[in-house]
Amino acid sequence: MSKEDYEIVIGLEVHCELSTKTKIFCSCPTEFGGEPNTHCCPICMAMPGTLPVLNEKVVEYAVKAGLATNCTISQNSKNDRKNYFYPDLPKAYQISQYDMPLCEHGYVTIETEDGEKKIRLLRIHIEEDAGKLNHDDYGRGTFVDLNRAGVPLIECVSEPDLRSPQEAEAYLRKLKSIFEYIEVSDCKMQEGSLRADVNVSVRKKGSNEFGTRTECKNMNSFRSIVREIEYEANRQIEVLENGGVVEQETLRWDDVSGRTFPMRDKEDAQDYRYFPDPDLVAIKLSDEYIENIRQNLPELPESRKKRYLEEYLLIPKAANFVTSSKYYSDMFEEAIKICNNPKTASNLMMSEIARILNEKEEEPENIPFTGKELGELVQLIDKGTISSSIAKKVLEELFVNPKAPSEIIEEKGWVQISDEGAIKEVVMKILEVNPQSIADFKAGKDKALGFLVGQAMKETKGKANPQMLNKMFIEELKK
Amino acid sequence: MQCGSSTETSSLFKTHNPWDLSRVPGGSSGGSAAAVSADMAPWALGSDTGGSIRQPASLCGIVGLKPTYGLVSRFGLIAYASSLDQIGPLTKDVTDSAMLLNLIAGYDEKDTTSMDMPKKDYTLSLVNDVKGMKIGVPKEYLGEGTSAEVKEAMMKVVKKYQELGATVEECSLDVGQYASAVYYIIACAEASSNLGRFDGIRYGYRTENFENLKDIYKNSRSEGFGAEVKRRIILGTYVLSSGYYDAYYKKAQKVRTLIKNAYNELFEKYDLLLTPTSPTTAFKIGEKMNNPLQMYMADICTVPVNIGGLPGMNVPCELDANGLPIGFQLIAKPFAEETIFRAAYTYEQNTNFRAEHRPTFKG
Ligand SMILES: [Zn+2]
Repeated sequence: MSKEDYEIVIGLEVHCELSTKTKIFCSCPTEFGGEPNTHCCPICMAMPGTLPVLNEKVVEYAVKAGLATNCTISQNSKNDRKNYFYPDLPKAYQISQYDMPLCEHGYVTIETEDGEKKIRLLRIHIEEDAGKLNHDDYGRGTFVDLNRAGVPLIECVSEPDLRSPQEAEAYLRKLKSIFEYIEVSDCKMQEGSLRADVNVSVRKKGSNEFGTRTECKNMNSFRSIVREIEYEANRQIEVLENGGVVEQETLRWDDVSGRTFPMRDKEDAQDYRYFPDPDLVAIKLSDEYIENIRQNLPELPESRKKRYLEEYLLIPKAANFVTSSKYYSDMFEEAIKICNNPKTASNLMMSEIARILNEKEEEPENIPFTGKELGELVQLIDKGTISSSIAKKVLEELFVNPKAPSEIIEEKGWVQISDEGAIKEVVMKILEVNPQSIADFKAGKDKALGFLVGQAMKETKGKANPQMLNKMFIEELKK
Repeated sequence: MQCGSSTETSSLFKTHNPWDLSRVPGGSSGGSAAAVSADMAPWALGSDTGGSIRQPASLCGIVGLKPTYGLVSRFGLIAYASSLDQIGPLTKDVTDSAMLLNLIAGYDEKDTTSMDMPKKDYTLSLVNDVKGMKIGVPKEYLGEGTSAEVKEAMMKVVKKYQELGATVEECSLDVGQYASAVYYIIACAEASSNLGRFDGIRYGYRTENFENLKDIYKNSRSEGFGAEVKRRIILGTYVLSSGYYDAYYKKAQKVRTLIKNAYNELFEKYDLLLTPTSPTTAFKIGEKMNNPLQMYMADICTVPVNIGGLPGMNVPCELDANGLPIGFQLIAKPFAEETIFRAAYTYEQNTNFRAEHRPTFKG
């Protein structure tokens, strides 16, 4: 048997930090960063005698997330304690939800090679984040920072519906995009506000039974997740092919070696002794409350896509691309307000901006400029102030030094040459040194024209107006 | 941290009963009760999870009130069993109790289990009149295990109330017999979780013997907690474990609902229930130390009130042959503290316990 005879089965548990201003059970700020233990109070530090009070915004945000992912919202829900000992958990229990999550049975749609696919969500529940352990480089011990303790999270558990690393990535990107659209999280993976526990198993194609799965916790980059799934699936297939059995275990992914390792603590068959938190009253949501949130849900990507296709006449590929991230979509809308040219704006985003981000291995949220700059840039192309090849250079520059495109082209002297006399001068100069191309053109080889225009662009460092060049070359050649 | 019906398991010092220094003052607020009884403090606050205000109040001959769950904020109280804990006054008489409750009762946005309702003036209930009041006496608390002297004292109280114009009759709280089992499951489960933070990392005693994290947890908690607390943490951990949760914790919660329902039914008929507060008077220090089960019997009359979330008050009434105080307990429906105050005040005004008896500090 070979790799092709196996099917990969993946399920993701995605933890997403909600962007509420304050923590889930106290009024400390959720803001990222800050000196250790400056964003905490007696409540999130678990001082004996303190009590939690549920932040209503957390419930609202989680309900939003549930509605945007087609979940059923539970009108009766509660908070449960998950008991375990760890130094980053000062209460020795995490307040989470066990058997009555806020949202259940939803789905999101992803694009695959074979078209659209529904990925089912088992549940979304609310819980609090733990603190952070800082291991001292000088061997003085381990320090506990409770700034993150009590930051609200939603945990979204998918059904094991994903069948390839690419599907897993597409699903995670979709979830991220939805949460960004409805503004419940900034989903910054580098800051850990979006992270996933990845469950992987393999089985023979056609089999209805699931294989034994392994779990890799706290993955926070798309690339590592894809690599981990690929590695882990191959490893499991190898184990099975060699007559072995896959052990159910928790793994750690090492990005440097590109391998998974079993977690040291093998005793992780923990009994969390879940029980309803007696310090908090049950969560009861009325129909009106849920309906009100549903009515006020921001526009979702599907609806924006429809609008882009119908109103702006984007091609499906461009509409898909622009709506794949709220940051793209917002930038696009801002840009076309200025330039009123959806086609060029979306093209620049799809070809140039995406390419630059890819090279830098960055996400759309890291684009340092806004739709205003993009819109101006398109305007400058439309006015003939710059050529589209200069526009590409301006975009590169915007990533390094974000300011008004008009300022950039002025500083760099990139203004397009549209002066007829100047253009003629260049044309004559190029023709003079390329007699062969003149002969080729006259012999009917149209390609020669493109070559000459290219040479002229090179001569002017891309600043010459290409339409004028084209026109003038033809005039001269036909003389 | 201490628990239990004596103060013998206290991590600090043993407290003695001012009526007989060889005896316990009751627990766990025994220190506060003894101090008030001995006139060393005008009043005190205690926390009551299963009787920790009322039982020592009874053994020390003072007034102790456990308010309805949710009447007094728990913010600031080190949690033992969150769904049962309440703060309440320990005072020399009923008037002080009402005045103190006026100060501590009321909604607190920091405690979501506290009840959001208008403030009351409990001193308005200090009225010397119980005419027409209906009092039920559940027969289950006057049976085996309750001493003859306590029973006799209860009969006198019943008679007194009848004389004062109340209707008193026997009733039954059959399901109450399960209250202690329910109490130990729920209280220990919650305590095992609440006491988790005393793990030697940020809070609680930290061992000096450790080489790794696991040692810190294990040794800190082994060395830092007393025997009774450990007993309860182990029991609580057990009843919450997967595989046992349904059989113990979940079942206990169901029985808790049944007990509440049974109380509700009784309160459709009666304004108050009357029981002994403790089945016996103060026992000798060390007498029950090695018999946890017998010690647990001591709060058999008070525990059901916490399970029901109801208000309950100890009112001192007699001395036994050894000169030790006996108290009775008045129980009302949730947030009906006024009824208790009225009945307790009336009893006080028409009897002379405090005028006739003072702690003797003998023994
Ligand atoms: Zn805080």
